[in-house]
Amino acid sequence: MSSSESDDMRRMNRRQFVRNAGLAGIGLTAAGALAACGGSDSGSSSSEDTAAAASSAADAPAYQGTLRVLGIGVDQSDPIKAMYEKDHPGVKIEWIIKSTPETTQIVLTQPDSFDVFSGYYHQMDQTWPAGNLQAIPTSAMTRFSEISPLITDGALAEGNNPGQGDAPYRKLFATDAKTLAGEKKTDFITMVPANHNSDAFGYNEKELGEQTSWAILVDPQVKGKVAIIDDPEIGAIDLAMAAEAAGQVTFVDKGNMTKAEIDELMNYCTSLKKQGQFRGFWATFDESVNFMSSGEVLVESMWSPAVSLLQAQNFPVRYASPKEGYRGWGGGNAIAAHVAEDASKQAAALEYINWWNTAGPAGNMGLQGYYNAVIEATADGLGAGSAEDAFWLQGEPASKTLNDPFGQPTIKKGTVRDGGSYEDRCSNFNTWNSHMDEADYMSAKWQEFKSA
Amino acid sequence: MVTSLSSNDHHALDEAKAEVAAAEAVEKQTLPEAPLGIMATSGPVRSPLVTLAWIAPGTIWLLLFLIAPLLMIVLVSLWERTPVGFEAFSFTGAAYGRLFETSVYTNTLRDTVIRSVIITLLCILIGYPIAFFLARCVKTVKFQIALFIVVLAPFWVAYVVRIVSWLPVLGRQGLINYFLVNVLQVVQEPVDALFYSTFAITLALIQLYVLFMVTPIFFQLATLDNASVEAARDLGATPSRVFREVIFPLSLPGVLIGCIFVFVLTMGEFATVRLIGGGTIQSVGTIVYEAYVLPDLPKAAAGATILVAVMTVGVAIMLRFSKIREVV
Repeated sequence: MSSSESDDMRRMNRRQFVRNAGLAGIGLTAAGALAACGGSDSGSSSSEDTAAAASSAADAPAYQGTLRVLGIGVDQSDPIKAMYEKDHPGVKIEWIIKSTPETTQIVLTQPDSFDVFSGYYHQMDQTWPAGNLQAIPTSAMTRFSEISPLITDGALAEGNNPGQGDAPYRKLFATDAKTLAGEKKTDFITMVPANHNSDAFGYNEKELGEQTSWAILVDPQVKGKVAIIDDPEIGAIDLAMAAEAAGQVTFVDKGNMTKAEIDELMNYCTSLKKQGQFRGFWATFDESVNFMSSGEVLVESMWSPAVSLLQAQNFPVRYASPKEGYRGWGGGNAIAAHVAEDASKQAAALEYINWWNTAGPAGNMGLQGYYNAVIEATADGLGAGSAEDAFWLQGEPASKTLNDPFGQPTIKKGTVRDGGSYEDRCSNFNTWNSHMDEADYMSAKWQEFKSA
Repeated sequence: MVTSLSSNDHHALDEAKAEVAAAEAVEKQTLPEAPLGIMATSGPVRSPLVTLAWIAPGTIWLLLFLIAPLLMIVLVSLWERTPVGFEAFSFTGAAYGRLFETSVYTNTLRDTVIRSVIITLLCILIGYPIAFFLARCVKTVKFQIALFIVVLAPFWVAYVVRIVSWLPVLGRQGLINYFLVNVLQVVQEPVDALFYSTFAITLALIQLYVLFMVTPIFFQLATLDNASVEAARDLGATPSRVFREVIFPLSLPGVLIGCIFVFVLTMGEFATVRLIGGGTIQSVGTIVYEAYVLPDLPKAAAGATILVAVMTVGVAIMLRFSKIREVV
């Protein structure tokens, strides 16, 4: 690609992206569409005809129909759907909710069955090379310049620990619709960044007192009372952080373990399992809540809203702020390649993924403890100076009872968020959810471990 | 036997001979003469086309929804894996290699078969008395049907609810552990093995599938020929002997059908195993599912192919030992 072409692509704006995608026609991937765009825009004095075509395609009739959004359900709720449909008459949202591995499988094997993919950055290693998703020009994003440096550069502030593994900044940029750019910044992104969070383990404070190390997961004092999320790309990392913190196994990169490291970790965990350390492995949000609330476990991998849910019921659960750092995750929205065939739908999909960086959805997610990649959107959504903002983002005690986005009271007056403010919770990452080069091997070993 | 046929009807005689030759030796000696004559001389002759029309819907259905998918699974298991699925017609045995890379599949298959056999046997032990009571001890049909509906009641409750409700019973803070620890005081700590364990899975699967045993046995016993039972009694047989030599043998087809249902259904189970096992116990179904989402479709197909093969062998063994055709 010549430098003049890439300059042109940099200049390409959102409207042109939509138009070119529309012109791209059947079967053309976004890379093709973008290459074509570089050509057509290379003369800034484009002909009258091109200009006319551009305006007519860019002003393609507003999309009337359904946008099918594939995801794992964290950001796919009835209030979100209602909010979007109210703001965008004529567009219906259809949620396709699956487990994380299932969504990867669908992106790879059934790429025409969805329009927008709400995924995680750690799914990009596996999904991106298939070419089933569009490379989105950063210029097509409405708030690209406001994206948190945590997502674009790996650290919220200078000197923060970016952590190992598939941090968003390592999977955000793409060279083309089949190649990731790694940490190198380009003008294309895989997904428009939406939600992210710092995950840890939840624990029963009444039984265990305060816990600040991942090592508790492998501690004999909680033998038989530990549950782990049943996904090797997440659960194995929780165990790796625990094994490392306990001084049992060392790693070069927990986000991309070698076969030898996987063997060492899994042998260690298998011997623990045979001694009865683990009560179970959970696959859904509800299972994790049940494990904790029924007293089956005292400590487990957990998600922030699961902790809030139990705290609201006066269950003595705490979300740890591990001294070794959090396990991070970041998600965003990608557009399926086939959507480029329909200019109206392309415009609608782009509108949808950009909408995620606005106050409405960001506030909804913020009330559940999630951060938007444009953190101002979360702040706006929670309301500047509000009790919600003070609690969820500033780490201050709740000045009143706070509701979740479904209207249920979840945070009692006086509570302080575990881990504190946005800056505190997002400044120390140990490892991010990761898809390893040896993922198949890890999966086989994970299965062996679970059935040991 | 053939003497009753009119001597000039040679064609019919030939046909009859062919029929007789095809029949089993036992049948040859006991078959009444009249039906044979009717069959050969005056029975309605059905056109092959009509026969074809009758069997067509069932055959097409089975071909489309049973044979074709099965063949497809076998084929996919023999194809090359790609990141987005499989490469058609690129034959390789690699998927089976990946399946047996670790001992997980072999061990799980063994455990699944053992668990299914145990569950099937326990379902007979629990289901037979229920069916017997319903069919033989309840006198009026109205009452029979009413009680049968009561037996079916668990099916009115959603599948997930039936599974989830085991937690408050068997869990660490569940009913049984409460009694063991606080009331009977036989143990200090709650017993963990009650839940998220093979025991819990076995119990839950029996609860889910015992009805598939009760129903066919119930129908078999309810339609049993009472004349044979009365004949046995008239000849002085004790009730237990009547049961052993008349009722039980006649109910075997129902038992067999129940066994096939329970065995096949529990062999393929994965949702119950996943939920009640708490993720710590695998079945062949959960392994196939995990390969499917990896995605390693050929490996998933290989796991499924072997599962189907083992189920078929299991059913064949049951059919062989029960000699269902002779009983019916």
